[in-house]
Amino acid sequence: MPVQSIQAVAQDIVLQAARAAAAAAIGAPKLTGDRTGVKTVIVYGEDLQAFVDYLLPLCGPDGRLNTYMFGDYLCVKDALEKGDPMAVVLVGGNTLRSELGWDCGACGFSSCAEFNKYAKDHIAPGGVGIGPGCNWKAFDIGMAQGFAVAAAYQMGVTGRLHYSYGAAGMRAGFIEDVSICAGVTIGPVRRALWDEWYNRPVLAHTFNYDELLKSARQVFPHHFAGFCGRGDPPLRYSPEWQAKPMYVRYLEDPEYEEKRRKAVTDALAAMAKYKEKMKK
Amino acid sequence: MPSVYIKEFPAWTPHDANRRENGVLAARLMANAALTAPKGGGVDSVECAIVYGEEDLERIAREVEQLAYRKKITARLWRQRMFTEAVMVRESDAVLFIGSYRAGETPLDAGCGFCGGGPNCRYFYEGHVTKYGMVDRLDVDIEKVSKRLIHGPLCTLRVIDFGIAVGAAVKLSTNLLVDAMPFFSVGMAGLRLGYCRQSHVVVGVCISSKQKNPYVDVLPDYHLMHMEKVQDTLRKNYVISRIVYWFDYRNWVPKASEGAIRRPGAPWYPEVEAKVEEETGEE
Repeated sequence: MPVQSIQAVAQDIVLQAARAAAAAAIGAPKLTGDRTGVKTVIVYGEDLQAFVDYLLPLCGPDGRLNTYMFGDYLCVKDALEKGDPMAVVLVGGNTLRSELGWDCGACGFSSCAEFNKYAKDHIAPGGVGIGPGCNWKAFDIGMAQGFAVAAAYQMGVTGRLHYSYGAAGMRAGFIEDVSICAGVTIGPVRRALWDEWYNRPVLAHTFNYDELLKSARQVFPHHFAGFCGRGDPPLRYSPEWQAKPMYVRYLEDPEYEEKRRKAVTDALAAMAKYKEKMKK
Repeated sequence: MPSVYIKEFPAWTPHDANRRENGVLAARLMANAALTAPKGGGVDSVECAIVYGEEDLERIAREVEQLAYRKKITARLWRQRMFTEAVMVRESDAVLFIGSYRAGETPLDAGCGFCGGGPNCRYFYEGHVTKYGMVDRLDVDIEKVSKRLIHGPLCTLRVIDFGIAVGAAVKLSTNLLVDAMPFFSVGMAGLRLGYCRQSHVVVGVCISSKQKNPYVDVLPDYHLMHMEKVQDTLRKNYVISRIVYWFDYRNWVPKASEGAIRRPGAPWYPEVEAKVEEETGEE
């Protein structure tokens, strides 16, 4: 019997793990029963190029437009270029309507009927998904995603959860009729479990030291407020801060510098006459 | 020689307590699995509480039953579900409450659109009173929200993280081979009783290691038909049937000629068996 190297069977392993993850997602318990309609789709091989094509315009070729998705973009691109087998299991469901009748208040309405009435006229896409949604259906989708990621991890194959690939999958039409979708990445099987994503060589030196520090400086002054999904954190200047985002910049202010310089000079000048007196 | 003896019945005996203790151990590992589960941005948002013991489980079960009365008497499905799930709490070894302390307070601010649609977090922030970009519950309209189970709107991305956490915890139970089932009703009871101290949304994962999974294959009206009720009915009635005939065991015992002593293979009820034989022609 020939001895196979792991790379020769990497595609099989990745698909095996992807199938286990997909089955686990379907097999997860659901608080809402079948009403959420959790779906899974396994994307692998050439179809992964769709994720690269979706993320490139969002991040910019140098990743300066969205620093956080840049890693996701480079990782799939790198795997495809090197021919390293990888799969993404899309796990999603539809939350746009509630037939539960639980009237729990989680959506901000006192009853499911009120929510449904509102939702019907307000369906709109966001950054990665579509809303408004029933939170318990979203919870069930999350449980399915948790089962999927755990299944991959328990097989010893790298698995992470990304909304970027989920959004790409939705928009590419790989998975239909869902409002929330995440991608569980399976593989590549090249390196240690936790080295596979943001530690891989292709990501080294994507940002230089100055840029890393700039990013850190942008969040420090206002106490890390806001998820800096684009690398630029918005400032919470009023209750309506979400309506008109204002961003933080780190700048030199020559006018203020001049005022400060003058203030120190004036203060010392004010003390000069006392100093003179003390000398006598 | 020290040993650990484990047996399921009777409940609440030392050998049953040994079994329950292992359920609490499983709950501890599942709680950690909920914490290590992946979350958006790697931001912590989940807290856990493990509750066990007869008194506390009973308290939770009663709170679940109270939820039944939130709806009118015609909402039978809801009422039956609450009462059935209260029984399931009583039949558990432990309840692992998992809650999200960020879903109602501190969104990820990613503009994902899951809560209200649209590329920003307006639905969340406009659904609450806010100050400095933070949720301010001081000025909340108490008349409007006091009747709700959950004070939403919640950040749905945080709710999904919460779902992933509960999923990871329940997935671990499949490895540990303990029975575990997550419940909305038990979670709401836990939320009201305050077990997950900072959370605005909670799910209760009931855990048990019994020889029949208490969370599946139940009867209608299970609140009247579960094992404990059946046992109680037996206990209530048995003694009466035992004592109704006065039998002084010291002075009299039924004779062999009356049928008191049975030979192997002898029929229990000769007259019945004779009739059956006559009707069916079989011996």
